[in-house]
Amino acid sequence: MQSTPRSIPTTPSLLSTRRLRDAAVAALCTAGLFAADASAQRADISSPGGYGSNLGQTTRFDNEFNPAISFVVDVIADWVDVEDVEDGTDIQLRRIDLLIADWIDPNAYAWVTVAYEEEELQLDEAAIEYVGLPGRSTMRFGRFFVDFGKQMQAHVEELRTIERPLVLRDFLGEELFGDGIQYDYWTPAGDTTMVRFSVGAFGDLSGAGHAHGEEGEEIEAEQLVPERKDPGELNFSARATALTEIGSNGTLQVGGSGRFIPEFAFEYDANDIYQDGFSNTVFGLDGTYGWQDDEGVKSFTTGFEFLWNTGDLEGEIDDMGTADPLDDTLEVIDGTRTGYYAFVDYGWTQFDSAGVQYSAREAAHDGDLSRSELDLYYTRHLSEFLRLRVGVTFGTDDDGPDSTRAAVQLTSFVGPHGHGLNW
Amino acid sequence: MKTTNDRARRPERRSLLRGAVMLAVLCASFLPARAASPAAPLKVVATIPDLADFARRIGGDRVEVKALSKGTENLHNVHVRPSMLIALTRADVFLEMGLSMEAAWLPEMLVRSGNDDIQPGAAGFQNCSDGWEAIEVPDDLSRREGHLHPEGNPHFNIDPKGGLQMAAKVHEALVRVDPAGKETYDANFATTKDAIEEAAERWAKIGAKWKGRKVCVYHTEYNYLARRYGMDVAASIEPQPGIPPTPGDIAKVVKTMREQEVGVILTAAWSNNRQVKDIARKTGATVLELPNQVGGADWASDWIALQDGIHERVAKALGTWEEDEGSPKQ
Repeated sequence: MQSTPRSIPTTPSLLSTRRLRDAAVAALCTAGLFAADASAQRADISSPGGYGSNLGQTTRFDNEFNPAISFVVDVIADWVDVEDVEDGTDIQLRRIDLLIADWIDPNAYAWVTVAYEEEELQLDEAAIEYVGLPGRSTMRFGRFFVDFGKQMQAHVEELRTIERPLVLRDFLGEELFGDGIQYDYWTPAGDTTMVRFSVGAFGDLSGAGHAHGEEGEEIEAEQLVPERKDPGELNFSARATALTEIGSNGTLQVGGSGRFIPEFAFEYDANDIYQDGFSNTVFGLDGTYGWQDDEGVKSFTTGFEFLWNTGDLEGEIDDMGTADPLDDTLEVIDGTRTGYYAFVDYGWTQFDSAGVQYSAREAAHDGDLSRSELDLYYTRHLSEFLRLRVGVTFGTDDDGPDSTRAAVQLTSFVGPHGHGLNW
Repeated sequence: MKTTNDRARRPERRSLLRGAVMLAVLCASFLPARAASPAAPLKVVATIPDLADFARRIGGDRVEVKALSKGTENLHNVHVRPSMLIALTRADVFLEMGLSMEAAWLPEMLVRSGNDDIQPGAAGFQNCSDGWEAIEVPDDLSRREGHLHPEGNPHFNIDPKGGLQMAAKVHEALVRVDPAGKETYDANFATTKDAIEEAAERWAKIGAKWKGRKVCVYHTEYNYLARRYGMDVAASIEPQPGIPPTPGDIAKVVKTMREQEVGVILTAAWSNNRQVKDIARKTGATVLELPNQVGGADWASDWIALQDGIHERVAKALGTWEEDEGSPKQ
């Protein structure tokens, strides 16, 4: 605030005016200070109501209520031989998952998973699970793994095998997560059988790392789900499953899943090809039988999943035999292709298990051609939170080179780590 | 193959999708909610058979009891089965051991049960370790120390004094949820308490001869028993709880056992008993495979029988058993 120079004569009226002005400025400043203080604690930018008129913790510098933090480190050393193409070894930090999770209130919890993979950070999950609904219903909001089959809900390093089964990678993507909402419900059917279903609506379920077919030389158009769409054009998921006990040591589960993309477009940037009006659906039917001895030491698990990939499968670019992209045309392949995987695992101690898995699928561009992978793997839990796996994969491809891969995988789970029920 | 837009089949697919979603939601709304009948027995679900045993003793005809885990099962690695979730969703009272004993398999089931009556903090939820003074409470919570339980060793059901703790907590829960049955519960608790105290005198007499005796254990489940009678756990085959021993660890155990003349190895059915037998062969020690829950052996039909059997077998292995020391029922 600026003071009045004493050397300047002032009249009483002028003085009182200035005093009034100074008082007003002082009052405003004081009010401003209070307002600033209040805004630090009660930034009136949110809806009224609740403690402190704002969402979130009212004490800003306490750690008492910080969420649980954990991370996973997944390292792979492998040797690959792709027939007549390449061979060699590599060691790579395949993936790091950073997980943060906590309860929000008694009825809801939230989690975030950030994955570092192939030198990139990616937000895999950021979701809220609301468990305060009556009965056995829950709702999930945000970005999360889609409820499809038995293996798509988990990160790849958490599976029984080093890679996700071939048919899942090709039909659904390396990972299948989306931004959306999912409703879950389960109910008993007797004393030892339960039935569960889920339905979800998402913005885009076209799949991260979606291979969409074989690794040939054809140029593929990118699959795009429009950002804004009619409600009926949202992407949907659905799963129904039943679990029952077989004797006192066995559990049998059968389930059916669907992933629906009612509307998408193919885009090819090189010559501005954009065609919409396509759709794709993947159905899955799965079965799993698990057995564990009375001591919980020896275990046996076998399962399968059969998938139908139907609708518009792939957009291939035909270069018309010229180097000029402007004469390229789009060919969209539609139809139905099938694929499956099946596995058998046996654990002979709490720390040792081995298994075999076979996966095959028809090629998108020609249903008479197929690709398959045979996996043999041994897993040793060095401790509860450190896992060593050795695996060999034999790949055969009617439309490309066969391949062999031998890999050693070391995965550590640091800090709190857990999943929901695998149903 | 097609090269042009083909929208002809889209309306049909959308209708199918909408129909499927509506049908699913409709089905959900008609599925029956849990109905409670006051005349029906109280449904009690316990995580381990020991707690279920006390619930049956104290609850009598007023309760219907189910144990989630089997007596033979490794409590760190319980195979989750549909019947467990179904029992939880119908339960009026839920009994857990606590001290993170069931942390690996229980919490998610409890949430998914959708049963508000048995969630932590609700009247039907009972942590039976409340008030129990646990041993081996870690000073430093680091996985370097293995599978730690932050609140201490949770295997207090093997402590001869653990029975009274479990019985008291079960009694407390039943009275809280079903005050109308208080008279029955009080009477049954008094009977149970008398039976435990009578047996405890028997066990104390047997265990008094074990003071200073050296044993080797595979895991930490028998540490309460050892500490109660002043036994010396000279070696542990697991270097830290839950960590499988390396050949180097086993060599150290063998050396320690030889040096300290440890003659008995206490182990559970789910431990790696191939390694245990190998160590016993090298040291000449006796392997004593003991159940660590009710139902873990034919003779462990209830908690008092479990303790009777454990005391008898340990005494025989240590060479302190006298024929007139057993339970009058045996």
